[in-house]
Amino acid sequence: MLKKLSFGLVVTLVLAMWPLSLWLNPPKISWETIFYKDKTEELKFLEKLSLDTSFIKKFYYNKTTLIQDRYFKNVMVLTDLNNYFFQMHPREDVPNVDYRIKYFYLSIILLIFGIIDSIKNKQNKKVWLLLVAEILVVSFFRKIDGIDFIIYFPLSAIMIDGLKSINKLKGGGLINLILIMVGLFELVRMMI
Amino acid sequence: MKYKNILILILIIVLAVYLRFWQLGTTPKGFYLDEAALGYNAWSILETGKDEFGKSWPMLFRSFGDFKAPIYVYLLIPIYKILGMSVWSTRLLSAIMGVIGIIFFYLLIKKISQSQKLAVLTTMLLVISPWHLIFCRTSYETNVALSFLIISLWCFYKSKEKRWWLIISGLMATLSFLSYHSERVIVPLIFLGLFLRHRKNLLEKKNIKYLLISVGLVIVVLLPTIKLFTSPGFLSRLNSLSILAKPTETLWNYNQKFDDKNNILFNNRYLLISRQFLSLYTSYFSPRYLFDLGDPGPRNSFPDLATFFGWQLPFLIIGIIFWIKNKDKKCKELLFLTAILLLISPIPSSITQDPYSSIRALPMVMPWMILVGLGMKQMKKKFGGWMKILYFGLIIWSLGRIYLSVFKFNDYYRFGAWDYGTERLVNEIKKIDSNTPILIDTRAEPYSQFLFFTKTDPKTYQENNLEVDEKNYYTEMQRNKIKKIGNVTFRQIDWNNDLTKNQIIVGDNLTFGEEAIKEHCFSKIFEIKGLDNKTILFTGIKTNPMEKNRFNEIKKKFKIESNDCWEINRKYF
Repeated sequence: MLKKLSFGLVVTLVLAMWPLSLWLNPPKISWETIFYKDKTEELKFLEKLSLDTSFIKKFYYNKTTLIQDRYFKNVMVLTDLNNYFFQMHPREDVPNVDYRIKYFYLSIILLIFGIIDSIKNKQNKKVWLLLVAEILVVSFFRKIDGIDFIIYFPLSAIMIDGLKSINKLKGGGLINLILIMVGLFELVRMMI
Repeated sequence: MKYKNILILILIIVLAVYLRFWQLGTTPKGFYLDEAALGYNAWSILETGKDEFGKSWPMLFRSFGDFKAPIYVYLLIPIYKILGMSVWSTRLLSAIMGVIGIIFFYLLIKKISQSQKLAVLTTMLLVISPWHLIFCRTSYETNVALSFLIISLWCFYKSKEKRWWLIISGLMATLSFLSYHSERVIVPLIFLGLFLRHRKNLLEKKNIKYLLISVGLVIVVLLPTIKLFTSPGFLSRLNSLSILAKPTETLWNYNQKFDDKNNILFNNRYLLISRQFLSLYTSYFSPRYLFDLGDPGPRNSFPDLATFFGWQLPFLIIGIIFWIKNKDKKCKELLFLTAILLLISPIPSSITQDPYSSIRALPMVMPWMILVGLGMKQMKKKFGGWMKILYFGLIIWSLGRIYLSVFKFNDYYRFGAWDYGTERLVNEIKKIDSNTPILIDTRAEPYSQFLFFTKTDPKTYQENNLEVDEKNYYTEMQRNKIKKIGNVTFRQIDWNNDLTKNQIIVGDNLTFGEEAIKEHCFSKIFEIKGLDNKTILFTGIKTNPMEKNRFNEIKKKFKIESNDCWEINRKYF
């Protein structure tokens, strides 16, 4: 009974934070894609091209390079664990990325267990496929804050799966307790 | 060993040598002050047996208010004895150690995986790794520490054949420990992990003798350093960078809204530290840092090159899946070593404040390369010979990127970070009469580069620049920021007194802008520009106290508002 209750509490805390942060601090959703023009960026790019006169640069830099870079950067942001659990990294500033709280930081353990569980037991193939597809689609947008919420569903599913496998462990109850304590603190910190 | 594999291995080593030695003295352009400090201290020890502060054969090298690990300096001494002191010879040690590390990395992987193909593949990946390359082409202690660590690991596994290798392993691990700050944490933890895994074998009667000799040797070699463990010098790095030493209010995500009463709960120091530590730790596993950003420090990466190439990401994922799923006994040891290297290497750097410090977490390059290599091997197993063509193409593509970033873009975008211009400054100063007093503004502390490029006699320098006596070398942290080398003084400009003397002053663009030159009647002697031909790195001016006084008098007398000293002087005289 107690284990079920603690399991439910952890799930609630995991699921609550991202929607709550969107409600408390609504994002300004912009549907502008990465196919925009930026003169400063283009000038910097041209300056770079002028540094090498050999044919080699032609293999690496062409008209699509800027767009490719923007897309790759977005994919990388969306695959960065710190984006979800730590409001990015200390002492850094990432343009066009939000710093909202998505999951409390200790719940990263759930994702790790979820990943290991998925690989070992060949589970959640469809969820992973959905997650990858969503990341690839969201990366087409210039400002991903708010739009990236679609990632919440597959990611949370994997994390709950991770929690299930933690609960199968001997010290699962204790881990639940720690997660609840840290999660509650983080929730209060976020709301005030 | 198949001949084909030997040939490939030889080619890989030739490529490693080429990438690490070509234009070694000139790329990166510039010579950073830490490189110069390492070099001059080695020169000073070679000439006088003492470092720049007059300390005989120190165990830690005092430098810019910090203490450097000693091995790089001591290994430079024989190189300087043979080749003399130059930028090239200073970086040569790093390049040599890098190549040695690569060779032993091959031997290590071959030994524990029993797969020559995997060893060749992962070695190739290390050879073209931008992360490894940057620290092989510059004088940093971290690369030397990594190479000793690789050698010690190989010796450890070799000791299963011949037990006395355990002694060499211990010695190499000690050298790695002494070579760089991060290894003080990494090396003991890795060997603790290895000991726990192989304890049954190591504690067997036939092995215990060698284990005890090895431990004894480690203690003897470490003894002089153990004495310093609690000294401010040994702990200086930890105290200046560690998040553990920071006040609670400066910790990441400290919430200002909570008053002191609630701080115990919601700004709990231990929770904040654990959150900051974990966030820094996970940055070393972040694909964004690994494949896109790289180290944000301009001296720790090349422009447009992260620590790994983007094409390695899918192979890394496959490698990780293989790692988790693997049940093959042959791979167990390799995967164990990968796991402990991967988990332990980022620990020391995660205690510091910056995310993803590639210099402090360099040993992590090994497990990442192993995992990418495993992924590539799995793909080749599945898709056969076609993958070979793909891999060859990807390597050629990577070499092109290296060429552009390392040899073209880096010098243009990062010359400032590498202190480009100090050698030219020294050449300009050499042209000036040796009786003319010269003052160098010390915002960037270029005195170590000045000592290096002028090859100043260490004995004379030590006599004229006492900072601390030998007794208090490791304990007294106070610095003497004024340095005197012949007619050149390094200190901050005193704007009240320095302009009243006839002398030459060197400063940067902020110190001597066009306005300042006009206002203070300076004559510009020289100007050193950056490689972009825009940035002014150093400006040398001559003071003209007589003209300046005249200008002040006229200004006062005729109540003139103009600040152009030369114009007023021309007009009234």
